[in-house]
Amino acid sequence: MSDFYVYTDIDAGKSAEGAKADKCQSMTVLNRQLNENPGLENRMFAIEKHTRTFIAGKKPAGTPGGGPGSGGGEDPTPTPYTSTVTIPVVVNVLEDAAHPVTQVHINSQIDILNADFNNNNPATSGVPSEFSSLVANADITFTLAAINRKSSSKTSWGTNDAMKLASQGGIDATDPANFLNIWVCEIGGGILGYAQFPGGSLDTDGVVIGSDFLGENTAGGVYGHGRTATHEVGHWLNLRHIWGDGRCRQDDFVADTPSSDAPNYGCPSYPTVNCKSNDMTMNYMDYVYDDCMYMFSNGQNDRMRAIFASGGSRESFVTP
Amino acid sequence: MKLFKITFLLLLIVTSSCKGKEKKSVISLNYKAQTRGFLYQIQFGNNSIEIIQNNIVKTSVLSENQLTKIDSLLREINFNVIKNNISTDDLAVDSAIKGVFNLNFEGNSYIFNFNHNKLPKEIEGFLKYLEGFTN
Repeated sequence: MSDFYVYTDIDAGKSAEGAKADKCQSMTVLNRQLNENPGLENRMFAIEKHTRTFIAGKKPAGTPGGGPGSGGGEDPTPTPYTSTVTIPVVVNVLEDAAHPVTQVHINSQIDILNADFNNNNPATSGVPSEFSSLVANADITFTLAAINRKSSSKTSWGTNDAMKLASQGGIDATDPANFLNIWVCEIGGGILGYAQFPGGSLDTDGVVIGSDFLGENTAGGVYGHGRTATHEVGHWLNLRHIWGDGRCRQDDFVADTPSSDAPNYGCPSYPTVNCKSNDMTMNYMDYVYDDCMYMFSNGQNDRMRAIFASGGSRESFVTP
Repeated sequence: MKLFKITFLLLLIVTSSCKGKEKKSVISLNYKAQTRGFLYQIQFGNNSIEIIQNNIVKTSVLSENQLTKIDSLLREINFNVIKNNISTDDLAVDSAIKGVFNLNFEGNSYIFNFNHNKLPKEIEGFLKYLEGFTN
């Protein structure tokens, strides 16, 4: 269909039998997922096509790939939503007494999301000059709509979405077409948080954050400053990892983020060079410490705003 | 006759000992699973092992018996049926941790990409066994 959904990550399938077996295994995994959810690829492809049409429409006519209607064949250019996007948030807490999630934690998380998606993170002043003109203000505001709490002694919920389903001991999502659902629980297995891209099942739409990593929380250590949620909400808003989850040629579908071949960890010094360019290690979609990530790029902002444009996958958030 | 018997026994012991050494091959292993906030790595080579779990590093020097046991455990694993099981989709939304398993054994190189939290049973058991050396 496109480069979008046919994964080519060489790493993902390497085996003892070499590259040929690699590709086969990757395709096996992909095929299994498509068999499990045959509509998913079509939905995600449609979202990607819509996004690219939107972004192409923003470029001046006459530039390569630019001008209205030039990004998606016959499709009309989506109409942008230019005002502040307001996202009501429902926080679903599966309470484990050993890992308390307080109102203070929740409030601070909302504040951090608002800072990060409105270019109000004080650390952003440290963006290197090479990237300073690319810093974006996404103009997305998060408001706390409700908190649902349920007692749980489960110490490892895993990543199979059980926390999102009352039938499996979790808490059902609240109106995912109009609310961002954040589940907070003990995920276990070394996972700080995970997300779901637009286009997935509404029943599981939202992000999951480990109890110690919600908001300002000393228990989270270097990951206790709320940026796990910023990163996961970035995925929820259709952003990819900045390294594209692959080698140098694997893209995050954002033009102004440099190519890279792997995540960065810790707090990298500038410049960190990979794929013959300096990594934007301070991007929220990298894997660095909370205090070391402090920008979205303009290109990422375009992708996020695209899903709120007419026909976008999260347009329901901006329509009455 | 007694001298002959002793000589024969000595020869038998030396021969079987040498055979045992010949059977054991050079092994090196590097297994690394990492995501944001999580690092687990096992490095094994020569007669030493190092295990890193986030900020904790443990090392150990292995005995001849332990090395022999590792060798025999690896022989029990049929690497031809082991499959990569990481999903790129899961990695893209942070719901899985990629574990890269790189083993050199009996002149063969085996490289796999696993979901660290869903390791094949044989591999999980082997790694747990190695972990035991540094406890």
